[in-house]
Amino acid sequence: MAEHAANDQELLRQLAKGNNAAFHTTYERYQGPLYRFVLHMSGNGATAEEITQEAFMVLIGNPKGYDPAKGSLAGYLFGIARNLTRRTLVQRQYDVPISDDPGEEDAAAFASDLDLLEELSQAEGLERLRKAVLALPEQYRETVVLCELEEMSYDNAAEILQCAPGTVASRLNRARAILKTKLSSQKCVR
Amino acid sequence: MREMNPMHPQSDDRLSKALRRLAANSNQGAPPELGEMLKGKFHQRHARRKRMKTMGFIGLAACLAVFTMLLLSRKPTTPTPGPHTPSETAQVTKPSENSIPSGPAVSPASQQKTSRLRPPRTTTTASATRDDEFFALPSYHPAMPTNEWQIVRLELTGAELRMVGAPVTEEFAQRRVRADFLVGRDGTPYGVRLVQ
Repeated sequence: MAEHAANDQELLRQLAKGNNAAFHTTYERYQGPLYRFVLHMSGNGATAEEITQEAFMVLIGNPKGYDPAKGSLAGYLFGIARNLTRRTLVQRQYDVPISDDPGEEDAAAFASDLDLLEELSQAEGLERLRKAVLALPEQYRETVVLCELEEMSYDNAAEILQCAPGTVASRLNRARAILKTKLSSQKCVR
Repeated sequence: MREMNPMHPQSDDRLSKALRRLAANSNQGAPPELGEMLKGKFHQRHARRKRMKTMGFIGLAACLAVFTMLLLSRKPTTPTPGPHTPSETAQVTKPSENSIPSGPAVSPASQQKTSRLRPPRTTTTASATRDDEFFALPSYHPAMPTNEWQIVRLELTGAELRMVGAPVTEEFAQRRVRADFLVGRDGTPYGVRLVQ
């Protein structure tokens, strides 16, 4: 993402002039990460689509609203998406708790002699992990989404989350511990 | 019993692998329709902005052209009459028996001025009146100081003009005419000039 920073300036100049190709490039560069970020944060495809659209509409409506001195274009777009997601989640009181007491069916699904990794490689296992991520507190969830799922560096994540890279690292550490605890509590007992 | 031990280093590894698989499995982006819609909006917005900009330039150019034309076609205008002292505008002559403007101005300083005070004529019409000449009214006396006079424009009937002593014939009695009066400080009219 950082490597794009230099020509982001040029892209924005072209955007302000109304260059369609510049918009196409910008969109193709950032729509995927943005969409996935909101999707993992909200767990809702429609919300992800809506917020991705809004973030780009802000850029279309006022390309000069982005100040390169304050950070990268990715940081700016993720910042918009993050705020909108947060607002949406508050409005919808979105809550996807992971049941601490898995049903019999779930228990049966886990009650195999495969190890957890093998279980998680299956679709159900991935779904379980996705829900576990969604159930994380917001600050840990966004760290996991950015650093683990989007594979961003601590520095880039710190820029988006507006905190120090060390904070990102500690949040990620804590998030991983929570995830492991949650997943282990669901682990089948054979 | 087999479980992921939170403290176990292997579990960290497993979790990382699992997260990577989750990331690989959710490698989707926004739907293509969203992209098309946003590109359309971007295009529309900038097309409209360009149109507005062009229209703005055309409007500005039109305004400049009209302004320039107005400046070029503007003719020099005569100054509009306003309240001013007769010493600045009127050359007062003593009324005489004939209708020819006669006599020097009362005030030497006002000799170069354009308005003149003329004796009354019995057949006054607007067309017969030069607009820079005043007809003396009966109240006028040549010895009067003229530097305190003022010109007052009034619209009144011929009959009313006759009442103040203006030489207006009967046929103009009911017609409304516009006239300039030379009046003193006390409001006494000393001369009249038909304007329309």
